[in-house]
Amino acid sequence: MRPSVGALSLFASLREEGTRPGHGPYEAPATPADAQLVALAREAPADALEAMYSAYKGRIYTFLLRFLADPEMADDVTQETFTKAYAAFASLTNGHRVLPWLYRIASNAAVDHLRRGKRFRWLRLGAVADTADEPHMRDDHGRVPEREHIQAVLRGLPPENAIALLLHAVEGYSYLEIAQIQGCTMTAVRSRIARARVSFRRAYGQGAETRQTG
Amino acid sequence: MGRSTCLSAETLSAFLDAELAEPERRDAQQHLRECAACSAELATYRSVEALVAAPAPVECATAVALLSARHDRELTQDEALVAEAHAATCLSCRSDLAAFDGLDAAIAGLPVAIPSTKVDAAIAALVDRETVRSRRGRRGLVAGLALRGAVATALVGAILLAALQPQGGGGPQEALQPPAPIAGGGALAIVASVQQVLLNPRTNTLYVAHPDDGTVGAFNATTQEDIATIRVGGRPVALALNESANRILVLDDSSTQSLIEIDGATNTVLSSTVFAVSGTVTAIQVDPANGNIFAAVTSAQPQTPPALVVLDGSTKKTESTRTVPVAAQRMVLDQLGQRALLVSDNVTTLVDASTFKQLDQLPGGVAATFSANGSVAVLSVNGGGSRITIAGAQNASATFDGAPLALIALPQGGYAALVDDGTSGRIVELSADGTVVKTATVSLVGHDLTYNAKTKQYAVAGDRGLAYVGGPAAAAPNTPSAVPTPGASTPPSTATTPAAPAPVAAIPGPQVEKQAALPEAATLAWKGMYRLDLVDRGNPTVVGRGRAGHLWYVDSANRLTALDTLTGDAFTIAQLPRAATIRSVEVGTSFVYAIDVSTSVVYVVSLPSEKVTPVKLPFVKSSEAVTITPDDTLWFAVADQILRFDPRTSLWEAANVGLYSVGAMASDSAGRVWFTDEAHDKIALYDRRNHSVTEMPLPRKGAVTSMVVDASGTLWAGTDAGELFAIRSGQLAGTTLLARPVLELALDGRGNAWFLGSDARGGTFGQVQGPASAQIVPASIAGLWFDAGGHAWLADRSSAGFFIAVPGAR
Repeated sequence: MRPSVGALSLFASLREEGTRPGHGPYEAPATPADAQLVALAREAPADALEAMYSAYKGRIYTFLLRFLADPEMADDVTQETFTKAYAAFASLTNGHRVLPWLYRIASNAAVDHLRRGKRFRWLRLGAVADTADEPHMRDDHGRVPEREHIQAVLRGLPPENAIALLLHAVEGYSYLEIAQIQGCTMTAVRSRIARARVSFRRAYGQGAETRQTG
Repeated sequence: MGRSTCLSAETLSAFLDAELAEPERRDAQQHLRECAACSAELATYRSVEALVAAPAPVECATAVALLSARHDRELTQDEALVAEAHAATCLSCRSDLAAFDGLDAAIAGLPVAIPSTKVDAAIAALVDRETVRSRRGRRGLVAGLALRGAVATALVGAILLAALQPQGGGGPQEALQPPAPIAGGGALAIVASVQQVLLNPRTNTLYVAHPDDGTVGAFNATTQEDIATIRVGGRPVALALNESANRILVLDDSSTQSLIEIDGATNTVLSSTVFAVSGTVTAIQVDPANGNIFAAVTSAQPQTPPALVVLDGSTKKTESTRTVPVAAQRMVLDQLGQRALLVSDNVTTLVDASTFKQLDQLPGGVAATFSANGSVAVLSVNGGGSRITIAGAQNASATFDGAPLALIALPQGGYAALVDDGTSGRIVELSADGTVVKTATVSLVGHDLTYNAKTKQYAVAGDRGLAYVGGPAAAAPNTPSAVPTPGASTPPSTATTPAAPAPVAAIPGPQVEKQAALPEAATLAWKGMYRLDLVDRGNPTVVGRGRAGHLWYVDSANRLTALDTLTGDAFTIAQLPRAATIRSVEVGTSFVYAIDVSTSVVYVVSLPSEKVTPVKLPFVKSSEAVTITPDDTLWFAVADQILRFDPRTSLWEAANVGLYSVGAMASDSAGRVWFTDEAHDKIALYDRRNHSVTEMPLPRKGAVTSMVVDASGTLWAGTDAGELFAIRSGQLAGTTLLARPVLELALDGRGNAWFLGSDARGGTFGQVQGPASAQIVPASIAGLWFDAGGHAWLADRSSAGFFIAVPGAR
């Protein structure tokens, strides 16, 4: 299931060219060039917001949902992310790449959201009867128990570690890019991802074993 | 030939480094063959050399970071060597490395999702607002237009794709029409025939506004008997309920518009306040979270935009005024006071009830409601008929005959619409997806509709009076009994007598004054205390906690029983397994739960369907605390988790509460959940609207056994050391020592808190605010519950029966 090394380096080259590989059905075949969006943000901010939201709402929401494990909270933080982005259009420069910039706003907003007072992060554990109804979810994988287990482990990670791993695993961002998004050093990113993986490995391994025996 | 002299250290070292000249090297080699000591020395040199040459060894903790980074090709060559060297010798790190392979793919494989339409609407509103603003001061148009074109082209694909994605669960419903344009500010302020009939479930009283004679009628919602005719004066056109304070608010639409407050317990006018707003108040609602009053205000002046005014529930002073996009003729708040629907001429707007931000808009606007599962439904005109538009978990739209009048959500899910058939009214019951399920004719054309879940009866208010309709039947529509409205020529006292016998619930027969509303079989035990013995029944062991209605209990034979406290009839709802250990019975509006901690099962009783479903939940047996919120969600605390179960979707969810060690839980009328932390002597409040937890220290000697939130919003917590704490507005407002452990806290019909304690003499109970006047019942009491008449029912654990204390009789 894991992309080969070849696929990973292909990811990297695509990234440098400014287009992004698709992960899901909400992916546009091509996203607007960053330079155009940045220029539009200066000239017609409302249009730029509309364009940015249409293009990236799925990516940002999916990221937040994976991190927060709560559709309502992910909704709230998605809205906050784009509202904050709009307010910060003035700080966008020609060198900015829009999606990483949005991820930075989204991760900060999500961590703030969790830390602003103590908060509960709800994890849907499943249905007692077969009446489950997840309105926003599109599950093409059908491996619900595993998915829930992954989500549970992600939820238990320290926020910085979870975000670093998500950005790397899902977006294929390099350590340098993640360092820019998270506002930390590359060494910190390296250790965050490693720690996330190790805790994952421990919990995931245990979960898998529990599942086999139970 | 004797052995040659042993090699010097220099020679050995040079030999190792291949730095000896050929004759010397040959001699040295010859010697090494013969001399074990020199060979051993050379071997040592070799291993030292290897050690020096090898990369510095690292600990697993360091190595794993390097291995993880190497996996991502994010290492320098030197770092990669160190990582590889470690992996070569460390089995555990090698196995970690192998596991990393699948991990990224597993995370990347989590499902993708898109935000809800609520977020789309909020961003669209921001875009609209800002577009208008930027048009006012436009500049740099040429460049802007060119860029817009470029980005638009780039985005066409994205938008097309997004448009093709079904939103939400979807179904075979028609696509929604685009929202109609919002009416301009010049719309006339019209007070429509707004909410004119209202059910107060707390007292089971139906209130009807009679605008023409300045009164509000109060009826027993079960027996339809007239309780009171409350003279409020003016033109009462709309009613709203503050359930937690047990108050009914009346909008008086006479020339000086005012807000009149009725006490739900005494049915008398408490206060009248003239609205201090510029414009006309068209609708009122109460925020269930805090008792604040929302008033929708419109103005005939085009320069004054429509607004929502929030008044403090107790002082009636204006707290805030916000302009809203539409002039609302009706306003509906959701169960938690989180969202509001503003119904205007041809569009219904969903706003956030705290920020008034527009969340969504739906076409049409005659009536609107929130469903039991949080969806939004709008009833609107469709040619000569009606259309219902549903948005939320399911988007749907359906049409049916009859002009639209009113719409309500049914507690069991689905909706009921009131329509005008020309000469008579009709109630149309619809399922959650808008399918017409049943209809029933009403003898009068009404304005408004309400539903009583307890009696399964509708009440329709119209110009000719009030009509009650039993659950609509598909084949034979019921003939309703009409109650004439008190008019100018008819005295109110006779006019409010039901014209036909009540279709449900027998009216209790005439009884001795003292025993009014007590079962006939109840006998006087001593002054102020009655006793009801139950024949052929086990001893009550657990008494249900929660709302009025029937008294729910489990007896010694594990029979889940509902007791009609008016008649004294006990009904066995379910025979639970003998092995079950029922720790508590939680009573909600549409569901009752019996929690069995021995086999970890929750018995779920659905009141609408009268079905009992055992639900195996593994965590139940290790749960520390349980509570129920007004939406019937069941909450458990287990170790470091709080779990909640929604009976309507059968879904359960968990939240890690980490540091807390939860000992007791309680919920308030706004659905917020209080819990205690027994490890750190804290008490915390979880607000599900923003997922936040606020905590305060609560030093105590004992463990908290029970908590309850009274009608004033005060949280009462009792401990096994006899402490009784009052917490108001996040502050400890008082501590009382009872000298006996608190077993349980319960609310009476007026929302006052009572305690049940125990000591050697038996059970003790009294009001938390006057513990000195507590009464003693010489028996082991299993639980305390209050009926709507304010009688305290005390379950006798040692014989099959209840003690019934009559309020104020002592």
